[in-house]
Amino acid sequence: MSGHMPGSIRGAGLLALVLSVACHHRGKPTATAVGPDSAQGVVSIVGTGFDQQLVLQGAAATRPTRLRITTEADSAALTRLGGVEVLVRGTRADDGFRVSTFTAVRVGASPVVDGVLRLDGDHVVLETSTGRTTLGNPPDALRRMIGARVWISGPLATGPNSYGIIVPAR
Amino acid sequence: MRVRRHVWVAVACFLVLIGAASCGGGGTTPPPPPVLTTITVTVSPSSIQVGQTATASASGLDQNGASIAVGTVQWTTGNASVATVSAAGVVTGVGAGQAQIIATSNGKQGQASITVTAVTVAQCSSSTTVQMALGEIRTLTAAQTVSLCLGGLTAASEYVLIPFNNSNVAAQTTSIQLTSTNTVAVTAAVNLVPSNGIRLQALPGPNPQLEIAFRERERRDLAFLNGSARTQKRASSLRASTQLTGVPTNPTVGSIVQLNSNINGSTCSAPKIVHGARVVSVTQHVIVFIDTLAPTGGYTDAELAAFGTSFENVGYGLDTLNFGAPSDIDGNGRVGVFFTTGVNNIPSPAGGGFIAGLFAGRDLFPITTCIASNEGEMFYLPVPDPDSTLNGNYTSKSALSNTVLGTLVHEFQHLINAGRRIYVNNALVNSEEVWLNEGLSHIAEELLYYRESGNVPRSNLDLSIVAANAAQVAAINTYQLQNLGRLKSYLAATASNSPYAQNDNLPTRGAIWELLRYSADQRGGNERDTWFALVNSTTSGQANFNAVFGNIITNTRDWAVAQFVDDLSLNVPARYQNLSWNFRSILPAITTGSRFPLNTNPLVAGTPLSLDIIGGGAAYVRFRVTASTVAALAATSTGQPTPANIDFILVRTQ
Repeated sequence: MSGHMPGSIRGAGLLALVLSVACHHRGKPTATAVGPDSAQGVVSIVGTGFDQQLVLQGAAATRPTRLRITTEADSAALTRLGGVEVLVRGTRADDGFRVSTFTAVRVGASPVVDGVLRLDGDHVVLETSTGRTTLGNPPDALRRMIGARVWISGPLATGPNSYGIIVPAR
Repeated sequence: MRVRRHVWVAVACFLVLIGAASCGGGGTTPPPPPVLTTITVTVSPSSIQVGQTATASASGLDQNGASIAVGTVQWTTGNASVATVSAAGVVTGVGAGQAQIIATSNGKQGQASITVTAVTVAQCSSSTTVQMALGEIRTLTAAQTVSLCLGGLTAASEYVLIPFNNSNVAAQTTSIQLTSTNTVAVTAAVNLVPSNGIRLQALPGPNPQLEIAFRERERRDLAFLNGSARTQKRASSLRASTQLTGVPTNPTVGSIVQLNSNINGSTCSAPKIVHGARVVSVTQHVIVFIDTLAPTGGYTDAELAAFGTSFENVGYGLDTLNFGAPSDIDGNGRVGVFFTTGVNNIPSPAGGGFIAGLFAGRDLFPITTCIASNEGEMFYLPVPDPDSTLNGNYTSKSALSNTVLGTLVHEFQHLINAGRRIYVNNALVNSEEVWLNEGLSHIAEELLYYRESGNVPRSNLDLSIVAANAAQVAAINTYQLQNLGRLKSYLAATASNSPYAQNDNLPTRGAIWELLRYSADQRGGNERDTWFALVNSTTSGQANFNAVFGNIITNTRDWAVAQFVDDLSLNVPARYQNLSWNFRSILPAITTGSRFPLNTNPLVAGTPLSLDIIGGGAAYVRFRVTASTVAALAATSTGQPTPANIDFILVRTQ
């Protein structure tokens, strides 16, 4: 049979299409403005107990890059990543690198995964920007940190056995 | 032609009816779809030892006996004291016995049995059983870490097992589990050198530990601007016209200069709070200033001048001899000591505490890039405030005055370190890493202690020496008690702290001070050369440490062993000794219960021990093996062999 669909039904269909698109985008977080630059290196805390600064150490024998962080929360988190190789994104400036986001990538020669610990039923999972990974047999310490942002290394199917805290659970 | 709405509805209903008609009545009845009916669980292997793992898997059958996908399985154990099972079906043996491993999916269940046996000595033989001499220290092989047979001696023996995390990233925490058979708790404390009853009393007034706790507070200058410090500008080019202070080269006693007293918040870019600073005394290398807004009842001019003289005669020479001369960006050949309300006005943490003094790196930079700089080498110290007009934590003048000289030598190391990096050595990094920077300043405090007490390094100082008379007690209380207290806080939690942790927490400070002292003693030679090399490095952190002492991991591991075995009369090699201090003698004198404050863990048969150890951290696990008995030990990490970043050092202690 041929003929045009009634306008009300066509309108309903269009509305459904719009809603489906909106629902699809609702799950994606609103992107914050992230600068166009990136840098990778090991985080160090330099200075004195009273007067500390965060720097990013690249290749050996090169001058480190000063990190400029605008929130206490990010400053505390990056401090906990001292000694860890991270990827920072933001904007380079004359007085350092203005950090928008950061991700732990490696500890020594071992790659790490950076994410938030969640519970999925009885399973402990690590939620990253690309999805969720079930931790096969996490240490008890990690089981007690649900909600914390951590980095982990070691075999995920039977572990992991090593980890570091980035943002403690609230 | 436009089709009417009701026609579309009719079409839809027609399609529905056809579909319904096709579902029943008339013609061949299709068979019911297969549904999961039976779950079969397999555990392989079906028998494991405590600490080992097995793999559980599940398969399904439908109502017709055909294979069918099981779907998502929920794994549970029937006896968690015998075996646990992870979400991925990894079964871990926890205790001897039998347990059912259960798989649940879509309302169906299946199960299989697992047998867990204790770590057995059945495999131990005379050829595989390790027998150690008293005082022997050995690093376990990977195979011995998985399964170690130990003992079988005619007499009982005691041991300490030291798992050490050899990662050079302190932030890396690794979890391990230890299990054993035929080990019992130690029966008595190891032979401590007993305290003679003398306690090192803290001086009256605010608890110095509060000052230490306050130093622990982290401060970050979020907008600290010193990018231009990496210019090759010579110090001399910063003189005269760029000086905020206008402090003349030879200031007149009684004259007043203007200094920025604001050292709260962003020290570089925060608004200046300029105070009048009256010149109290001028010596060859030191100018003492007093804030004109200091509350009444504080230091007298004579007392202030005495501070300057003391620093001139003792502290200045001590630090410059060991670390090098400071920079001189203001061209006056002196350092300023500014007693100011600016320190009092820094908010105290909850619970109180005072800042004994500080150095602000901003003062080494020109105001063109650091607008709050005072452009000169100087320190800031608090003023007494007897009536609590500013801050209730600075009421005791005597408590504050006793910290002045020690604070100045501590802060002077920071100043020398930073100034020489920027203006003398052209270091890659303006500032040393915090852990090492604070460690060096604590060494400065220790050097002051030696100077004032007349004692010397590498003389294994014990309580009989450091508490020999009132003068000795005063010296250690005034100049070294802080270091000992920080060390004590480290020894209480060695697994969760590290000498090279990227922080300035008290345990970190205590650990790095002691590691530096240990390493300098092991290095030997003129230790002035050691300190000078560290402060004048063009690198920082572990690279700096390694250049002077060799591998930091090797040093830290041997030092960690020394924490337990030093001064235990075990005749251990020198690399396992703290050559300057007998901490087993001294620390009980400042510890509740007069005990050595090193935290240890018992390993008792049948009771698995879980430990979380950070990079550079160590745990101390003690156990006893009775006579004519062979013990078996095993170490795992989440059910698997321990990773390569954990070393196990075993010592026979009795």
